[in-house]
Amino acid sequence: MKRSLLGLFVGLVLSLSLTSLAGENPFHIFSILLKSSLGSSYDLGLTLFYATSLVFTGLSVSVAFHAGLFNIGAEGQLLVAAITTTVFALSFPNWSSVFAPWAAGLFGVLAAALWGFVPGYLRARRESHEVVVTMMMNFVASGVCSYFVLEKFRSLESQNPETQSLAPGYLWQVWDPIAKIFKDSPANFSLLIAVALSGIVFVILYKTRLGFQIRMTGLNEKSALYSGLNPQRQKIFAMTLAGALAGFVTFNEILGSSGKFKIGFSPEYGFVGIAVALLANNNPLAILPAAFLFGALQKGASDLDLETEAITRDFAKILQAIILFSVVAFHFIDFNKWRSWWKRKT
Amino acid sequence: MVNPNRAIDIEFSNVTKKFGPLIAIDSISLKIHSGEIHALVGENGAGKSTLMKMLFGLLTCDSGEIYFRGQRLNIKGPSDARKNGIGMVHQHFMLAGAMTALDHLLLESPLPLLSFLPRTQLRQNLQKFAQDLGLPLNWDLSVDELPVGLQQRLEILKLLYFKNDILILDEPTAVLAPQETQDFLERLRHLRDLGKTIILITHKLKEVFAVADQVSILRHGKLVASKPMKSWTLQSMAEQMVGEKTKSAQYAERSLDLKNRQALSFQSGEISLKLGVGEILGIAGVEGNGQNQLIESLINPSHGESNSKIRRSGVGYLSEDRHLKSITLSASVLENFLLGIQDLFTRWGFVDWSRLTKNLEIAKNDYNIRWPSISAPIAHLSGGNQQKLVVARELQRKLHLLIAAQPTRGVDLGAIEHIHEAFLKIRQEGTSVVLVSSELDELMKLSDRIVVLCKHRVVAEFERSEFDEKKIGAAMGGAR
Repeated sequence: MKRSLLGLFVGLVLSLSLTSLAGENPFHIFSILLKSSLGSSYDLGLTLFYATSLVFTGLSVSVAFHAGLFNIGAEGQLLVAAITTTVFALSFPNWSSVFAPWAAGLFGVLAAALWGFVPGYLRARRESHEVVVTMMMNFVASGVCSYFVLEKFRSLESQNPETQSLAPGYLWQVWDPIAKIFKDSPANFSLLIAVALSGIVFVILYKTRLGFQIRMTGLNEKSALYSGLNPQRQKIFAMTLAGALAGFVTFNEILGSSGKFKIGFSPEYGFVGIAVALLANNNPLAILPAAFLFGALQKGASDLDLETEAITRDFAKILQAIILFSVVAFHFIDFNKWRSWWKRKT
Repeated sequence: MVNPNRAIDIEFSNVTKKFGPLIAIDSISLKIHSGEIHALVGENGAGKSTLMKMLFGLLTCDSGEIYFRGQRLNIKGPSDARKNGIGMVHQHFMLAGAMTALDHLLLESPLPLLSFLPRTQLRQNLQKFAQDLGLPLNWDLSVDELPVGLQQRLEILKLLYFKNDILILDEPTAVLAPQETQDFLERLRHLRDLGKTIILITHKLKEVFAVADQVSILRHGKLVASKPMKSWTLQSMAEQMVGEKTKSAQYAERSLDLKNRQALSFQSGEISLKLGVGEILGIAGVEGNGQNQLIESLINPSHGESNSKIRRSGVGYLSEDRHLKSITLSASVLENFLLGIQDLFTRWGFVDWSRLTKNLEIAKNDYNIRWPSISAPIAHLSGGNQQKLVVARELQRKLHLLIAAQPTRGVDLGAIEHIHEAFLKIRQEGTSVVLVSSELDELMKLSDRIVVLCKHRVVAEFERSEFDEKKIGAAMGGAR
């Protein structure tokens, strides 16, 4: 924990001092980042909105990781969930019930779970590497989405590649308490779902038999096998769970805020989720602050574009990368060695 | 014979090493003379390996100094140790399976980056070198093709060829069959006579008596005695080692009332065996003669579903490869205690950690297991303590069959007693045991019946009344 914070601090200092190479004042840049991500309730709302999706993908990556698998496919899984929700809602526009958004969302989550199950199954039964399979399935997912958006449900009022809007019965905004706090921002009830899920995933991983079996499989597959576990089954389960978790993004993006599927809505949540999981050391509870940090960077960077001459929004990627490197590096630094070296010197 | 006024090669001076709260080495001072076989004896976890790892540079000492021929040693890693001519053969060999023996030596030869590999010349040199030492080897076989005994020979030749005059051997006979062991000890004596200094880490007292010149005994990280061989007796050595009187092994007759009730019969390849309820069936044989296939067919690990059903129906398993198959090194003591018996400690899908902790504490007292804390990684425990934990874990479940492969390999004397007692206790309760062991003493002490495997066949079978070390040994060697 201390190490992570120290790494975060050093990473921030390092990356901000880079901006001085571009002729900017690092303190000025930092204040823009701070103001833009946390400055007003609207800004904070956007930060939380990004963070919510990152909690879901971060949890997804970390659950797979605990089973010894690398889920590169959170991006595809969340796309599949989003398109399933959208298609479901647009196909039954007249259903108005309090259950309607939940049903649409859960269908999305189920579809994402299936999208995770496939690479899990192939890994377990056919030994196809999950990195390759999930990556390929990302492309498939994005193709499927394009088909439904452009060919089936394309909005005629908009120039952008997006679907028609969902019927109002499918949206939360009327009762959503979070949306009321952060007026005009896309932040919504999914934030609370994300917080609850990270707690639930923590309990599953560390308090239940299922979680124990998944973690033991990830740590030493052989000993799990010889102690009577079925490691292949744990892997399939973990990947399915990972897919479902990534699928929850559909609540945040489709039902909670935009109410339609816009192509390219995800600023690579699935891949930033890998960084979030890494930063949190795969601890489900630590994923909350890690996702918040990356959400803030995402939001802050968008204003850098507008308010400075030399710094573009791509710079946020560099920031993220340097912070990630630095936090991870600080986990491996042997402080005792430095201390004794320093003693010998002085 | 060894000259009493010989030079001192290695001197440890007040060396201490701690792992967290555990004091692994407690201010040890010890001299090792040139050209002697110095046996370092002690239970597992006594600190033998730790002490030697500090000499070899794998660990650094927290305080104290190590002197090499009068000079203070400042070793940062194994390469520094090798520069000083100190080499170590680890319990688990550090060899690459697919590479040939020759290439292993080539790898360590100092060559310019872009030079051609002098295979032919090196092979000639090595053949002569090995022949002169009386340790011939086929240099063109890959390590996978070499039997364990020759793999070990390769490790030793590697050290000798690169002028390592001080050899540290960690439990070298653990992997050898009885006949090979005799041969190996013979060669050690020969190397000693050539002027090499040999440090032998072991807990097999017979071997110590066969070859050692000087014997040092470690207990709980302290040096309890270091004396020349002639002032030791087997009894005094064993006493010093465990710190209390040891019971001498008893091969008592015993009744086997339940024997007629058959617990199980099984067939694997050309081996078919029958096992009575509450019978301990010893499987003797040189390693690699079908034991592994036999065990695998019993617990059927490749079929996930049926395997877990078999285990849950009351089949316990102690693997010969503890680190790979029995425990998960990076997981905690508590988690390892749960591995495989999750179903016993689960309610509504949740693990009952508090009941598990309670049972673990009971097992700790019953088996005298020591650990820094239950949340520490099990890797921090000595091999003996790990094995005791595994035995305690497997016996949490009521078993009808226990499959034990080398259950006491690399385990100290005190722990061996505990494990053997546990076996005899569950036998009384009607559990059948299949015991695969390379220790004839162990087999003869525990088994009701011994079958001997050779080349994947049962070549002989002995009832308890017919046990005879020589006869069994001969059968293992393939004689009828």
